[in-house]
Amino acid sequence: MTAITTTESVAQTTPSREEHQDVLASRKNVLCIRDLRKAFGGQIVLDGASAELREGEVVLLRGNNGSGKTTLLNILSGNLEPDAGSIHLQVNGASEHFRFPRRWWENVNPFDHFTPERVAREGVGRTWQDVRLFNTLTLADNIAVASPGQAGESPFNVLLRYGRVRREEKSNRQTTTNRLKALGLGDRADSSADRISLGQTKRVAIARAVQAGARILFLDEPLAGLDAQGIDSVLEILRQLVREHRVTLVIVEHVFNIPRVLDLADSVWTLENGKITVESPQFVRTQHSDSRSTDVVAWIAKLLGPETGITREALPGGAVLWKLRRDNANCGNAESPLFEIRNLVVNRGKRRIIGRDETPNSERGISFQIAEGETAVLQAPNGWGKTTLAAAIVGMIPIAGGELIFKGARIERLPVWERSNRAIGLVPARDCLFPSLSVSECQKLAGCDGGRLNARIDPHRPVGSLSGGERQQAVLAMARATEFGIYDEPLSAIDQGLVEQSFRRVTELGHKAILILIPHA
Amino acid sequence: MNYLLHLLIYLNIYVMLALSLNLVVGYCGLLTLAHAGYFAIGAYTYALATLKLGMGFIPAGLLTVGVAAILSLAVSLPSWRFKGDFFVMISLAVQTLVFSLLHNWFSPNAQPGTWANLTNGPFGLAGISKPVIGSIKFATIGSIAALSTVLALSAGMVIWLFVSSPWGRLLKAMRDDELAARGLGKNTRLAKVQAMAIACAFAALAGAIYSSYVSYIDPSSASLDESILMLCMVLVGGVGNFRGPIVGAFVLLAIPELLRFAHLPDAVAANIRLLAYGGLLVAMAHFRPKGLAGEYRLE
Repeated sequence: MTAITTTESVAQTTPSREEHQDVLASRKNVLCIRDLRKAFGGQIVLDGASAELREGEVVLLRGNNGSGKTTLLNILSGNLEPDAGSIHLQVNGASEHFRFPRRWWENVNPFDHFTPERVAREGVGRTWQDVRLFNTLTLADNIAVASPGQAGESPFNVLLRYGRVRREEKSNRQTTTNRLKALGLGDRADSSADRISLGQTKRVAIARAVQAGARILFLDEPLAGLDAQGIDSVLEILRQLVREHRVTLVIVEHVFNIPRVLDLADSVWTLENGKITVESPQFVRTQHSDSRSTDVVAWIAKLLGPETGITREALPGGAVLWKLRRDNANCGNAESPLFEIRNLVVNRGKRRIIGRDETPNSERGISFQIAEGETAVLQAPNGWGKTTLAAAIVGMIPIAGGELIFKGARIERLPVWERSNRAIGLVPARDCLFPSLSVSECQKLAGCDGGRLNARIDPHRPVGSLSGGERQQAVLAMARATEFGIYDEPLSAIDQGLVEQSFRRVTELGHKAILILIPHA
Repeated sequence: MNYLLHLLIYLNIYVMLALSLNLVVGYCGLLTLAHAGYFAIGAYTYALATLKLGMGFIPAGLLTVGVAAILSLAVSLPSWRFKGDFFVMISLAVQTLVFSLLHNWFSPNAQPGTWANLTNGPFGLAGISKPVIGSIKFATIGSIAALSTVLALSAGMVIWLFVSSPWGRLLKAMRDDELAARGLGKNTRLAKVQAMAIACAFAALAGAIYSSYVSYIDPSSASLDESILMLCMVLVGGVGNFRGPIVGAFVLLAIPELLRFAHLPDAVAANIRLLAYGGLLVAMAHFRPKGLAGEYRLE
């Protein structure tokens, strides 16, 4: 235990890391997978993946889009049965061996199914890319419900042993309160889970999994979509889990956040061609240090060309609008912007999203303009209302006040298709697709030509069967060559080599102006 | 006075039905149309137990509860696999099955209650005795009102205990995201079976009181209209908490009674009532999707 603390507190110097590796090597294996295979309708995703996990180890799981990261996570958390291979779990003292394909008698026995609840009871927990808290429960209940083996979960006990149920529930409440306090959410215990920010939901999700008794925790993109502050707090919690509770972590993260996770990781599993290669974090770090800075804006500027000028404009609510402009872009002038927003106020239901008055003297609503030839990057914290803003600009939701001006004409009263015909195109986040259509059908629907897709994605596959990163590429491939292009988090979930390629395609579409919405980094 | 007592008995029956249905609709998030079927199963079981086996109220009631709880597997087992619209279809199938069984288990040559003529088909079972507990006979309307009030209150208390317990919390979590709940090691299948069994048992108990009060039961109490009426109570009152269904039961009992004072001709009144239910549901769905006092919005 002390050894780990040293490695964590002392900066990552080589000797302490080796020492730490020695400590890890002396620990017992908690999970051992051998030759896992999984194919989806002829497409082989896992092809003999083998790996081992030691107690308290932190593993970064990386791989290209569609390499099977989420599939592997789904298998190891019991949500998906592999076609072949074996999984050996040895978490809470008990040893469980699952061999695949399952024999028929194992499937007949109702107590021997390979299901999420079974694996969870063995001490394996997971968090989801889309968090999946119980939205109608309070934060306290979200965590309290996870406690394993509650007597009060049986109606018979509720009726016949009410005293015991009450006592147990009281101590359960106490633990829950302590956990929420540790997350810094002590005063939000009674707020509903859909009323807190994304970063807070991710922290609660981790606490919930730990409360359920997870000793191995699989985290699916725990940092995705978070702003800098959110990333720090999630990492701090993970660090604490490893240091104080020796929880084993497997973290799936995509390229922009990998350097942050590397600080924590003991080893890296790289999924390639259906197999797992184990690498050291130092090695992966050298791969990342050359190409990638975490500053997305600087990176986009670099892509646009060497002479790009950047101006910075602060918007209310902590958002920043970067305007990138190539000096040789000769069209347009700042006097007559291509697109302009004046005092925009947008509500969702009764809640004001855009244009919340934070300082008493501030003008109502937000205002900014984008000139022809500009690439604007709006960087805003989670919950600021980026997606709401995009939806309001294209007319998917009504605005509560202000003006939207495109090429000198007001458009806020036009229906969504009119705005689209006037050449405003929105490329939504990757979850806004038509799951049962194939990629090429989606492209035809969007009215754009095929062939802008990465060659590795079969255009005839239904969108619903694509992985997160592949969906993002499919969404980008549906972008139309409109005059004004709006992109909602276009770079999430795409991996290294493809980000640049995908972004080049965006610039090749010949938009006169682009608005890119990204979270704070 | 008798009119008010009559209303009280109906209110008690409605409250029991609405509270139990809310366990399935509000807490499990499963829209079921089979609830009237279980109400009728309870009524028939009670009728047969008293008519044929000569049981008193308590043993007949226990038998009723047991039969309904076991038969609830017909809706709870499909719910392992189906949810949303598909589950509604399954529950509709169960509802239709129960209705046609009660309607068709008939033979003109046999006595009602025998194996060949169990339910007496469309003619129903008549002469069901008033409740008898030990040596106490609940023969007057006042005593039945008292008995039904005691039963409704205890049903309410038990259901309140259930929904405010960790078990109720588990149901809500399962309703919000079943896969996430399973990922925390929760046996959601068992929870569904338990919730359905409890809900159907209380519906059956309400059926037992109903048949003993009216002393006649026919298949029309298992009709789809009745299921929709029960669903109306829950949806109008609001699902997902304790007070919503009670409010709903009260409102849906009050509407036809208020219409009665409008002195409409009998032929029109029944249709107006259905129209009022329909209009109310549409209005609720539009203006208050969570119901009058509910906390969960049914998708």
